[in-house]
Amino acid sequence: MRVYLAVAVLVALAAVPLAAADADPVALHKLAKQAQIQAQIQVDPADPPRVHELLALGEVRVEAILNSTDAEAAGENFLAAMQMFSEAFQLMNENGQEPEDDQIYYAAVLERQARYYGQLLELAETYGVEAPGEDLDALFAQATAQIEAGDPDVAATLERINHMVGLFREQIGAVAAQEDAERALEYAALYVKHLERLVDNAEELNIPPDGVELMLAIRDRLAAATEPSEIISIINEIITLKQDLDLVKANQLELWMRQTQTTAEQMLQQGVLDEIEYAAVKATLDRFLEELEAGDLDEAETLLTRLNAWLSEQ
Amino acid sequence: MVRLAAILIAIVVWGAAEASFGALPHTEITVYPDGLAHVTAQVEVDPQEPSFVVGLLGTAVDSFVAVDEDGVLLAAERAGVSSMELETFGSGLVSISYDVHDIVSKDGRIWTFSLDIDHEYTLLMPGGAVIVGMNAIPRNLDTVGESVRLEMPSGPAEISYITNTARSVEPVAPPATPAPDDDGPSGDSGTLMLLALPLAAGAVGAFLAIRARSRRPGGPAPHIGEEPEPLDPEAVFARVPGLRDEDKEIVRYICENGGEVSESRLRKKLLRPRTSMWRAVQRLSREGAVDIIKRDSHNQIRIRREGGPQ
Repeated sequence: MRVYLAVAVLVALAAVPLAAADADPVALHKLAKQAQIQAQIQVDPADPPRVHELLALGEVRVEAILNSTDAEAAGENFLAAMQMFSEAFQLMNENGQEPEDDQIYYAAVLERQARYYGQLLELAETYGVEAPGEDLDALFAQATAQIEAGDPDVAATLERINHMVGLFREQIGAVAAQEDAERALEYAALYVKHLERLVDNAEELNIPPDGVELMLAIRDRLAAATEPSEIISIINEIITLKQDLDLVKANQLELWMRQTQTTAEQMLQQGVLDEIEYAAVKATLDRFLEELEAGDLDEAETLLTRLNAWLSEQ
Repeated sequence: MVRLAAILIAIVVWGAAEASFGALPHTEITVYPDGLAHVTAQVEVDPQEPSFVVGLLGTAVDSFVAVDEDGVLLAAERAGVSSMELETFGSGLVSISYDVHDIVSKDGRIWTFSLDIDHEYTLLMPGGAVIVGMNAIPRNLDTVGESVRLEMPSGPAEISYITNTARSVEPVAPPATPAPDDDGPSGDSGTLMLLALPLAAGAVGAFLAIRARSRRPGGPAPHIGEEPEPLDPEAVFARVPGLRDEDKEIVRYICENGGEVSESRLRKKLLRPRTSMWRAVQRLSREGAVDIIKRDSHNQIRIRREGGPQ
């Protein structure tokens, strides 16, 4: 009887949507009320007196949530009620037992595998890797049917799915690793160019001769590196070196310039800027670069500030 | 080309150091009935850094996947007990997902979810679970089917819940003589079945969705000679309840513009930052309101019609 009462209460509560709220006392009350009802259903006259005492105190706090003068007080009552119910359930739990249900476990495993497989299918499409197809589809269907039928052989089916999904992941990973190596090389090449530009402008950027030498040495090592992990390691060295040389100000301006350039290109593509306006933007950016290379950071910043203000008005 | 330009922009300079890279703007945790949890998160990373170390919510982790904003699978390697190093190489936004074994424990019949992180997150409880104790105040809560969804604040949180609402007290005496008409499910297993069946059904649904997707790589076949029904945003809202107001605005705009627009156009017309719009369309896609179609270097966002691809 208790079981059906519990289910009825659950269904009734599920039918009442919990109000969306930012620590809304009504929503907190509803959550605490669920715990209270569950405790009332489960408490047994033979339970220790402390359990009954905690439930009574908790009920008082639940009612106090709605009568609270502000959200903070409602929150305190909510936490107090939940603390008491939690303790009561722990005490009730001392004599409790939980029948294990493989069906629930297997259903959860299958759901996760299906989710993971779905994610891998998207990646496989990106990398042009062929999906396992009908063999794996059939195993998913078989596992689903076995779970519904309570068939213990589902464990073996899930294991096969796990194995096939694992192989599929490895296939995708192998293709992705090749492209990852290419990405790493492209990324390294950009850093090499960047280092060369820094060296070319070393004087304007106040980079000392030993700093230039160090940069050239790192550039050579980076240009020769092929492994992604090695490239990461060398680039981290560059980052540290740049921090040491305090190249922040000029670089911030150059980053801003590149962002502005991208924005202007997008505005041209979207028809917000016409060709004449875009040419004017480019001319301003060229002037900015000249100022930057000449070491006049203030003038460069002024140019960029004006240009961005103009773009934001378009 | 666009990607290269983006990388170039990012690395030719050293700056913008004040940006809060590495922040976890949104983390979602789904707790399964067997105590495992699935975690998804988007992490903003510094494109000027070649790699990024992301913290994990537990130590026992599997099915880890990290992709960047272009859908590139990122190489990942364990960097510590509960962290992964990702080879980002110019990526600006990384989506990670994984299953974690050790943020939910069980004592007797009481499950306990425990987490202490420095940012807010969404927690979806197992279907049918009843929360019987918690030590943090959720910022928001609602229900998704039979599951309670909590918007949790940062900081320590411990949530106790039960999934089996029937209590057996020891000692349990075996039934001496079964009642002649008692051929239905017995107490506990009956309740558990009520919990298990939706799960199995969910798994079937996921499976069918996967099959449909894997067999239909080009999307749904066009119906020659058939005019698609006009798009009514209210119909989308009715089909996908609980959308945020700002997401409804996106749906309305797409419906008013033929049911499909580019993500960049959405950004421009609705004046949203790139990452905010990206998150919004990802959210709408997850909710089943839209489909994201990759075309060359940009995303087309299309309203998902009822019965359309999942």
